[in-house]
Amino acid sequence: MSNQSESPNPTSSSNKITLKTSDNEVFEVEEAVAMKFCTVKQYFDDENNNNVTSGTSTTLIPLPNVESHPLAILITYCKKHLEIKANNADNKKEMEIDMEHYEREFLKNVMPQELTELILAANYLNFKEALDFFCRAVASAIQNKSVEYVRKFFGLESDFKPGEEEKLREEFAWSFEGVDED
Amino acid sequence: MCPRGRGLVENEEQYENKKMKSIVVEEQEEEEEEGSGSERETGFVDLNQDMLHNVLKFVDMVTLGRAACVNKLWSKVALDDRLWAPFIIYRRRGLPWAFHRMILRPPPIDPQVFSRQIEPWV
Repeated sequence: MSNQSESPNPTSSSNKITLKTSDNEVFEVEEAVAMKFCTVKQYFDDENNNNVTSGTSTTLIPLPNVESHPLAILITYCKKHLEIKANNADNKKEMEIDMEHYEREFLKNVMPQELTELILAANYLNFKEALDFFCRAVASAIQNKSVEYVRKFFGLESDFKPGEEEKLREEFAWSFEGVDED
Repeated sequence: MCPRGRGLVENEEQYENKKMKSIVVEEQEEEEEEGSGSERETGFVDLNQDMLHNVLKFVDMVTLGRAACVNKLWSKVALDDRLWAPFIIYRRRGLPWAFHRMILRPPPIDPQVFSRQIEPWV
């Protein structure tokens, strides 16, 4: 897959960490990127504690629950995230603006279906920023939409017993005003 | 997704489903006319309960209320008190709930426009 070998982040050490996905793709990433994935970090820390002499850069970390496609996207996102953070280390406001701009661009290239596997991968890797970001993206897609739209968007069917749905709709009647039209 | 709780009152449910399907079909036809987003038809596979909770953390109160009416799983997740807590706190402080929405700033996603207008529920 995409092998991003150039290092945009000057603060990252030269240490590389190798990640192996469930479909046997191998990714080599900088330590700084891998450390953003708390699951990987945990694994790495445990490893280091167990044999102090290691310190080599040839650690291979298996990720049995992550496929290569979402991981590639997550790594790209993570690199950009670190880059923006490094560029605006002293200006938080500017960093947020840059980040928002990047996220907006980022979403243009992501299909709604991909978001599911991205969310699951980010959750497994315990990459909080990405998880929040993708969840926000899904949330904004259903923001102020009708129940029917949500069902269609998620490929769901109503499984209420008759009467249950009417009762809920009555209870939440205030939320059914001013539905977005799309 | 396999709908649960089926088979109790088959007739009314079938009627409901038929109604739903006709709505969906109409929407799909119009979408195809638009010539965009046919890949969206498959929709999401499924988010499990935790991930759904994560998503619903970022919606506003109106969307949360509607989410409770989607199906049983959604209803269970959306009625979680933890999701409603922020709105209650804002209300106690006398802030409008729209404030909460402003803070969360959901990123703009390409609007997936259906030309069909969904009638507001009476």
